[in-house]
Amino acid sequence: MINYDLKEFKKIVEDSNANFKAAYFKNFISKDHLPSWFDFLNCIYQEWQYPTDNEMASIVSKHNEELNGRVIVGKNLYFSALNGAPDIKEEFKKYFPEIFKMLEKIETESGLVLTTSGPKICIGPYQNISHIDNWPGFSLQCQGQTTWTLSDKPLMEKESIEYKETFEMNPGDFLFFPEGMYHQIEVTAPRASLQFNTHF
Amino acid sequence: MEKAKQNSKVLPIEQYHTSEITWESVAKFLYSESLIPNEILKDRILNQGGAFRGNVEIQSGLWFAPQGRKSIFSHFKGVTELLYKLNKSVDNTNCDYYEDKPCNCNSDWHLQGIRISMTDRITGYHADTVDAIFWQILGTSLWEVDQKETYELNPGDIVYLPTETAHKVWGVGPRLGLIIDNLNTKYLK
Repeated sequence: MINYDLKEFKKIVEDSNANFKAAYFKNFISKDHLPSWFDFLNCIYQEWQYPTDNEMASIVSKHNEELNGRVIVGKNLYFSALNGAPDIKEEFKKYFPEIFKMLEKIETESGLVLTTSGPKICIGPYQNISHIDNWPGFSLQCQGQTTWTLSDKPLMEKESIEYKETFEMNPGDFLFFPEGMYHQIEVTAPRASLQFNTHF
Repeated sequence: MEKAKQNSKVLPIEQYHTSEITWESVAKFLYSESLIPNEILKDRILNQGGAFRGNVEIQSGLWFAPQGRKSIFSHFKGVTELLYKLNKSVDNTNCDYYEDKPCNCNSDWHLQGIRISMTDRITGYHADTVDAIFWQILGTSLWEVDQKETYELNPGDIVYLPTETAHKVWGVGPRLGLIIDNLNTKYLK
């Protein structure tokens, strides 16, 4: 299932974090073990059935997005699920059991704990603005393609950028980026992915 | 089918036509349709409410009706063969109807559009003005007819609905289907 030695994987991730660089793991998981399009669409279907939290919906609407059940709907057929789920780990296990096993294996064999922030689907073309997260993050490409551009400064500040890398993510590829690293994604074909956080 | 048409009877047929259509092909189709501008759809949505993205009408957030017809043939394997079978070995894929013009081929069955649903939305009771066939491609849908019988359609199944048959439709889980109209419906002639 996992095509990397996990102790080596942890070392690469820790070095990347210390050096403020991204780490790209091509074909980290074999394609046969990745969630299918149906798994993602079924997750969206199930998550849509939950009652909508009006308070959260109000916050989401300030970003020009909508909350339906536990699904955020953005522009251009963008969906993200498991928003506001009380036990996200258990819900994730239900929808993506193989990936849940992968997380357990990573934790057991490397000691690195990855927590999920939920599935994301972009069916239409999409490009977000270069931004940072307040945690070290991972993205697992499950279906389709996504271009990730990572940098130490916002992409619009071209002249002051010292570190910049671009990765073409295909199914099975895994990407790590440290806390505070700017990242922008561009979707030029339908894409489904899973995002994770970690801490050191 | 002919007997059902003559007697105006609803006719479900299990495993009439199976295909290798995948959810990946559905995502790719939605993507390509979302890039096509459609001013007519835009005006309709702005007048009636609802949502759209390019050439795709969206209802209830997760119910999609792409407006493209001609493009369905190239995106979805098995559609051409299904129409060929329904039209008694007549290939009507080049009919003007698929370019949003009047039919110029005179064959009966023409595809009206794909419906993609990822919601528990119920399409309430209504009746169509043509004889219609619904082909279930992926997932499961339930059809209640004339407030009496309910039919469950699974991948490969079709249901024939004569003109003016009142029906309500809902489903279980993500699903994909194709609506096919008989443009030579007696009622229209």
